[in-house]
Amino acid sequence: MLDQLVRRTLGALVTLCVVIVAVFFATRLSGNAADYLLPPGLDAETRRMMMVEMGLDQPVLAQFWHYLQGLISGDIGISLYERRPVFDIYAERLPNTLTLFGYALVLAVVLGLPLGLVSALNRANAIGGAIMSIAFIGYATPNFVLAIIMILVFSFSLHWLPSSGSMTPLHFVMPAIVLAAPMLAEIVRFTRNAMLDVLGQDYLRTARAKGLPEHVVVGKHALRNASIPVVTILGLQVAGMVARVVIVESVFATKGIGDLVVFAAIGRDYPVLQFGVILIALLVVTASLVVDYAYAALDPRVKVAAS
Amino acid sequence: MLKTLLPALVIGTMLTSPALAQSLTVGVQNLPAWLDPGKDFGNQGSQIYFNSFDPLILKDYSQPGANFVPGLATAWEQTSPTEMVVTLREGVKFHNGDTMTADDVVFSFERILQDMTPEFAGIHRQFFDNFASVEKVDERTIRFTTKKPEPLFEILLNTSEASIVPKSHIAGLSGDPAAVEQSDFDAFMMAPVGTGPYAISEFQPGETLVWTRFADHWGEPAPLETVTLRRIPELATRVTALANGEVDLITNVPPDQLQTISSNPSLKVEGAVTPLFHVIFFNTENPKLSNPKMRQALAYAIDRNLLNEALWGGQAKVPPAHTYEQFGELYLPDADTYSYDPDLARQLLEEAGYDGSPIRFDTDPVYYTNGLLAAQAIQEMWSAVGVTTNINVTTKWTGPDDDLEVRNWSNPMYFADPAGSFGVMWAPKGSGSEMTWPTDEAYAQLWDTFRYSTDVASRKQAYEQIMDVVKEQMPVLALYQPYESYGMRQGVTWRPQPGHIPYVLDFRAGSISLE
Repeated sequence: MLDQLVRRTLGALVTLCVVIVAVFFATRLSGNAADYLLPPGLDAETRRMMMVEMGLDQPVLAQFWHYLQGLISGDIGISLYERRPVFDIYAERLPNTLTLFGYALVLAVVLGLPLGLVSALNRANAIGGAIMSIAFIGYATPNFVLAIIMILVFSFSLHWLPSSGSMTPLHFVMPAIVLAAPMLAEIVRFTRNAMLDVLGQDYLRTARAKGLPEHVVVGKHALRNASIPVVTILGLQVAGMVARVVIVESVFATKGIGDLVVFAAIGRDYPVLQFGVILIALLVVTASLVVDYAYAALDPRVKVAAS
Repeated sequence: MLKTLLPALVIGTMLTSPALAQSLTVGVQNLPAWLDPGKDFGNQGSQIYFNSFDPLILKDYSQPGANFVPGLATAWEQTSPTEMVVTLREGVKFHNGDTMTADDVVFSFERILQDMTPEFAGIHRQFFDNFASVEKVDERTIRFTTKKPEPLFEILLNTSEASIVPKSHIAGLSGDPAAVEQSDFDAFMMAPVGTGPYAISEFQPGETLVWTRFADHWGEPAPLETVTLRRIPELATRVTALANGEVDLITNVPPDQLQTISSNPSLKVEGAVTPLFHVIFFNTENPKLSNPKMRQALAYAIDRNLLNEALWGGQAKVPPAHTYEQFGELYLPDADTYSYDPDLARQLLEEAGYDGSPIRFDTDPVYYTNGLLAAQAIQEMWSAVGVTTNINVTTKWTGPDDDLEVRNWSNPMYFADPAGSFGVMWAPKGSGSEMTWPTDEAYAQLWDTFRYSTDVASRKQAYEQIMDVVKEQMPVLALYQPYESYGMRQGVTWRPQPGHIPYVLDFRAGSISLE
């Protein structure tokens, strides 16, 4: 067990190191920052001086060395566009993205598990059918379409919700729903299928036969076994959320890191982009690790196999 | 549960409505990443500076002409062609409480003239190249000296780049409080301080800016208590925020969205022709376009009035030359630098020996409103005279590339003189000329005559001759001045003032009122 988890953790660290090296060269290969970042009207001499100031006149290997040194000493650089520490920029924006992630995860899990359960238990009647239809629609609707529809309905027509910004919790309602929608649909589907699988198993018949009340049979024996595929989905969906948050933050003008990273990629703001990619890699790698640990906690066979 | 929640949400939204009191919330498409008027000639910064900073000389911005009025100077006199003596206003306060001194004024210019950062060096070259020195004569008097005769003293001292900033405040921002260091300017960009009617009380780069009325402003007090600018990059979201009452005013409304806003009874649209040209320019050093006849042909083949009708509903303004109404006596409304003549275009193509190989037209997908659509329309117009075009959509600025052929660009009016728009780009050392149009000694002499003659008649004559060179050489074609629209709720009385450079959000006294 320990063995297995140590190996996983080491693998995660190697992944991060690869990302740290790859992101540096990938950003440089994507084009010269000066061609994207500086105003089009700049004269050649000012342009040259700005390149010197931003350190872009240095050889790539020298820049790489400087970047590694910075990472080790905790200095992640100055944004080429905003001219202030990258750290300050992320410190301003990361809380909004994490809040959004938190709301979306809670929403997806808190609604998804019971809905999946209900639809499994009602698989033969209209309730189950209705839940699954809505889940499929949620899964199939592109998030920017859902976002615009929600804005048109709840802001433009009904005036119930603010359309943009991140000033109050109300501002997070629509972005969180849009971000959660595909994950919610996934969780509903997987919970339902896993439950159907488990409900037909012999040990459930045994549990019922020994006279356990139905809520213990479903809630303890069935749900725990059914939750393993659901945990897998959560791990995968965190990576999916990173991709979706980019669009969601842009449409709802949430000041978060998704919007920031896209802006940095378009403008070739290397330091901001590099740190953003590293941060996202860290998030995804951590999520996979947490999933690995969760397997071990949920399924005793993982422990046995590992030791 | 949902039923009890919704009314609560409605009340919550109403309570946060910005309609109350003398405050305004603006949804802007973009906000700058840093603020310092002396470093910046960009379109994002120009939205901001006028409300928070003052130059020595102001003007009546309600009309396009040059009607200068006292700003931080109460009087000014050009004592010789190369010398201007300025008398400073007394008792002017900066937002941080400092009183403006002659040293602040000298410093505001010295940081540019001494190239204290690369950005200041750029402004030095593009705006104040002719300035030799700025001296304090006494506590209330400043003397500006130029290298060559300077016909543009008032115009240059009126620019936003010539705004006055507090020296001792800036020096004290970091490191040694007595010395001015690079890090002081870096800190100032995040929390700028000026003398204007609104202090910048909150600034989150690229996202939010809050103006608060500055009680000790020397001039007419600000009409609004607070103004909040919020960046809302998505057009649909910006329009919805307006319709939903989250913001009172939005910027950058493209022509195809005007109907959506004006059909809503609680909203309205205001707009004006912007003092900025959308242009296309030709790389004269590319073998395909090195023959002037080739460039002339491509220019003659473009029906700019049709572009205006189709893309701007006829509201943009098609210029006869690279000239603006704001130039006053130098305005050339009757020039024929640019015109549409497809037959002449065909003839010129033949004379130039055009071999039918495709011309590459570079454009950003979104940077210029209607930029890509205009490129596609031009592709059709060129096709009508027998030229094939490949449109190359890229976010990269390809201006300096050797393989550039044609691309779109904008030429803003940085100040109201041909030197401040055509000149910044297309003077002998202009940024456009440096990229694609190396000019000869004769042009340099013509330019010097235009730039440094002190009587208007010789300047105008030289300007006309320069436009003749442009007609002959065709390095750049001004397509139109775009019509810039703003959406706002009915209770807001505001419109862009014609005396400003592009995109200024003027919320000073007399420019805005709320109901």
